Amino acid sequence: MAGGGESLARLLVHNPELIRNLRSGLRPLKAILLGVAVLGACSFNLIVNFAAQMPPRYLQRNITPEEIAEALTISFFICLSVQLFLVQLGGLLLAAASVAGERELKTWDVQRMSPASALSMASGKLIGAPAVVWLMVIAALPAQALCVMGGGVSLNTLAQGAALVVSGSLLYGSLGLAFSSGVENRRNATVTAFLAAVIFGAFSLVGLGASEAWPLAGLNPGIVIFGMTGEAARQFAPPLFRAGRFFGLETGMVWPSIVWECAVSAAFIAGAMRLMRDRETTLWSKRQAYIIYGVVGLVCTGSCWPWALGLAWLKSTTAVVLAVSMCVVALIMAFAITPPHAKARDWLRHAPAGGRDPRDWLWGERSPALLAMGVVWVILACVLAVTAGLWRAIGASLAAALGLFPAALLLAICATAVRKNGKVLAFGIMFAWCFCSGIFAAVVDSEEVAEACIPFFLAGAVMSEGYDDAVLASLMGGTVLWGFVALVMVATWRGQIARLRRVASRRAGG
Amino acid sequence: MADDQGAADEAPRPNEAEAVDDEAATPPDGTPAAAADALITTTGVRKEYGDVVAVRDLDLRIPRGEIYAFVGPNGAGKTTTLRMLAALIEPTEGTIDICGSDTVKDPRGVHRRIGFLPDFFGLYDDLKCWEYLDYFADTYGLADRENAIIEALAKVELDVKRDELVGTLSRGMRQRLAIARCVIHDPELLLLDEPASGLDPKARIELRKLLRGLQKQGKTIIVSSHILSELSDFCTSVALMEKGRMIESGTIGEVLERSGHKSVLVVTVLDGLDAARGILADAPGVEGVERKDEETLEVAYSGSREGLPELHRLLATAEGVRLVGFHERAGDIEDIFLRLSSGEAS
Repeated sequence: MAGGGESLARLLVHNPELIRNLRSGLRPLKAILLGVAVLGACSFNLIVNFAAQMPPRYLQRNITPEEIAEALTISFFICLSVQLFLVQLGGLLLAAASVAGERELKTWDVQRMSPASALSMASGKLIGAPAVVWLMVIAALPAQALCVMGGGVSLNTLAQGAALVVSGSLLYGSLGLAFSSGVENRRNATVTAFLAAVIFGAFSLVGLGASEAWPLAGLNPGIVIFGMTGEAARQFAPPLFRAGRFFGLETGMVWPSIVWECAVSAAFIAGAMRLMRDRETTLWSKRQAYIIYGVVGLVCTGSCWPWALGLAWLKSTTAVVLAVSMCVVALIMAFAITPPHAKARDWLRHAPAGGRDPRDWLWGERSPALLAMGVVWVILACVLAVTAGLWRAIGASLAAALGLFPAALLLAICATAVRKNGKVLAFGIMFAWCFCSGIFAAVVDSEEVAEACIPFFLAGAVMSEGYDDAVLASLMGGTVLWGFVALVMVATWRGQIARLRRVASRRAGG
Repeated sequence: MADDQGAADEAPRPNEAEAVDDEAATPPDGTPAAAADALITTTGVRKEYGDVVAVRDLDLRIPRGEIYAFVGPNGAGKTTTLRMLAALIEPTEGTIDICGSDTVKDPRGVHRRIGFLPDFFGLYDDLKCWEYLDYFADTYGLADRENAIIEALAKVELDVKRDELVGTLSRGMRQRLAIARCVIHDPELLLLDEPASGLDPKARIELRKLLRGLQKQGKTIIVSSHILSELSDFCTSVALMEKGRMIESGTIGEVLERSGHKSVLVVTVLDGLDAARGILADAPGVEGVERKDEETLEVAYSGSREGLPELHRLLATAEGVRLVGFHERAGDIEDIFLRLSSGEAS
C-alpha cells in the first residue's frame, strides 16, 4: 500500500512534468491577476444572474427564504455550468495542444529522451496543461460557496458538482491528450479532438434521455449556454437539460456517471500513452485530416461545431463562401421542413419578440436592448477581425446573425487558439458573452430577449415548430452541407476538379 | 520503475568516466585497440520513410573519447542517423549498439547514457534557466539537483543567467543551456545535431572550447553539420555523408590521405621569408611553395598530417626565421567533400 501511495504521489504531486507545466503556465503574477479577475467575473455574473432570476413581483413583497434558496440554487448551477464549460472545453483545448505543441516546438524529442515514464508524462500533462482552467475553477469556488451558505444547495450537491468538474476535466483532457499524442501539430490536434468530441456529443441529440450512456454528451455547447443564460432560457430547453450532465444531478445518477466517465478517461489515457511510446506514430497527415473532417462532418450533423471548426480551418475566402452557402442552405432546409401554412405562425411564435409584430420588436420599447446586442456583435466581430482575420470575422458574424451564436463563439476560440494568447482571448469572449446575456436578462426582464441573446444553435431550430423538428432539420441540412464540404475537400485535394474540367473539355472538343 | 532503477545502476559512475578520460587523452588513431573499445557500433543500418531511403548501409565503429563529425549537405541523412543513434527512431534494418545497449531492445537504457541536442535545442521559453535544468534533473532522478544545476550551468558559463527566462536568452546562450541540459545527468555520449548552426563567430569559438572541454572530461561527442569548416579544426574523425550513404570516414588525416588531397598551408613570418621558403622546399611532402606577399607563403602539402608538427618545428627553430603563423587553409575538407561527392576522388 505504501508503495502504491508513493507511486500515486509521484504521479500527482512530485511529477516533474506536472511541475514544469505549472511553472510555465502559472507564473505568480499571471496566476494572481487571472485568479482575481475570474473571481470578480464570477461574482459579478452571479449577482447579475441572481438579479435576473428575481421577477419584479418578488420585489413588491417580502421574499421568503425558500424563494432566496431557489434563486441561489439556480445561481449555483449557473456557476457549475461555467466551471463545466471551462474544464471541458478549456481542458480539451489545452490538453490537445500539449504533446502536439511539444512536437511543433521540437521539445518532444528532448522529453522522450528523459527517463520519465509515459504514465508520468500523461498525468503531468493532463493535470498541468489546463492549469489556467483549474485556476479559474478554483477562483469561482467562493462565489459558489455563497450559494451553499445561502441555502438551497446541499453539501452533497456541492460535492457532486465538484466531482463532475473533476471527472469532466479528466474525460475531455484525456480525449485531447490522446489526439495530441497522435498528430504533429497543435492545430491538427485541436481540431480533430474537438471533432471527436462532437461525435460523442452528437449522440446527446440523437439519443435524448439516454445521454448518461454517452459521457461526452455534456460537451454539447447548447447545454452549457442555456445554463448560463439562466431561467429564461431554461424553459426553452428542457430536452437539452435532460440530455446534459444536469440530468444526473436531478436523478441521482451522478456517481455512476462519474465512474463511467473515469473508465472512459482511462481508455483515452492508455491510448495516449501508447501513442507517446510509439516513436514515429502520427495518426494522420494534414491532407488525411481534411478528409476526416469531411467524414466527421457527415457523422456529426446537427451540430454547429464542424461548421465553426471548418471555417476556422479553411482559408479565408473559402470560409466565407462556405459560411454564406451554409446559411442559405440552412434557411432553405428550415423552411422546407415546416409546412408552408405554418411558416408565418411559427416564425412569429419563435421569433425573439415572442409573437409580437417584428416591427415592434425592432423599433419598440426593446430597441435599446437590441441596439446593445448589436454593439456586442460588432465588438465580437472586431475582435475576430483583429485576431482571426477579416474574412473569418465576416463569416462568423454571418453565423451569429442567423442565430448560430455557438458557431461564432467556437470559431473565435478555434481561430484564436492558433495565435499567441488566443486562448485567453477566447475565454475573454466567452465571459463577455455570459455577462452580456445576464445583463440583458436582468435589465429587460424578458425571456424573449434572453433567447435572442443566445438563440438556438441551428437556424432550422429557430424556424421550425418543435425540438424534434429542429433535430431533423439539422440532421438533414447538416448531412447535405457536410457531404458537400467533404466532396469539395476531397476534390480539391486531389485536383479532381481540374481533371474533370479537362475531361469535360476534351469530350466537348471530341 | 524497476527497469529505471536497473538502468540507473548500469549508468557509469564518475570514477568510470575518469578512466575513460585517460583513454581519451590519446587521440584515436584507428588502431585495432581503439576499435575494440567502440562506444558506438552500427551494422548494416538502413532507414526508410515509405519509398525514400534516408540512410543506407551504415556501418560505424566510434571509439570512446572521439569528437566525431557527420558532415554532408542538407538531406544527406545526418539528422536521421543521429536520431537513430539516440534511439528516437528505429532503423528499418540493421542494429545499433550504444554503450552496450541495443537502441531497439533497450531504448531507455540508451537514453540514460546519452545527451541529445536536437537542431532546435528543445527549450521551454517560459521557464527560467534553473527551472529548465531542474525539470530534467528531476526526470533523471538526480539526488542533489541543486548542485547538478549549478555544475551544469558552470560548465557552459551561464551561471549569471540562472534566474533569467529561457526565452530572453541569445541564440548562443540558448545553445549552451541546451548543452547544459545534455550533460546534467553526466552521460557518456553527446549527440549534437547542427550545434553551430546560426551562431555568430564568437559563439562558435565558445562552442568549440566547450566541446573540447567536454571531450577532456571523457565525453564522446558526435556532431553533425553541413558546414565542414565549423568542425574540421576540432573534430577527431569525420564521416562524409551524401544521399543517405557514408561516402568516406576516418580521422581527418586518413580522409585527407585517402583522397590524395593536397593541403594548402599558410605560413606567415616577420623576417626570413626566403630562408623559410628554402626550408619548406626541401621538406618531405611539400610539392610547391608560392610567395603571396612580403610575409606570407602558401605551401602545397601532400604529406600526412602527422608530418605537420615536424614541419612546424623546422620553421620555428630555423635561424633567421621569425615564424608568426602556421595553419591549414580553412575549407580544405570542404574541397575534398565536394570532390568526393562529385566523383572526382575515389
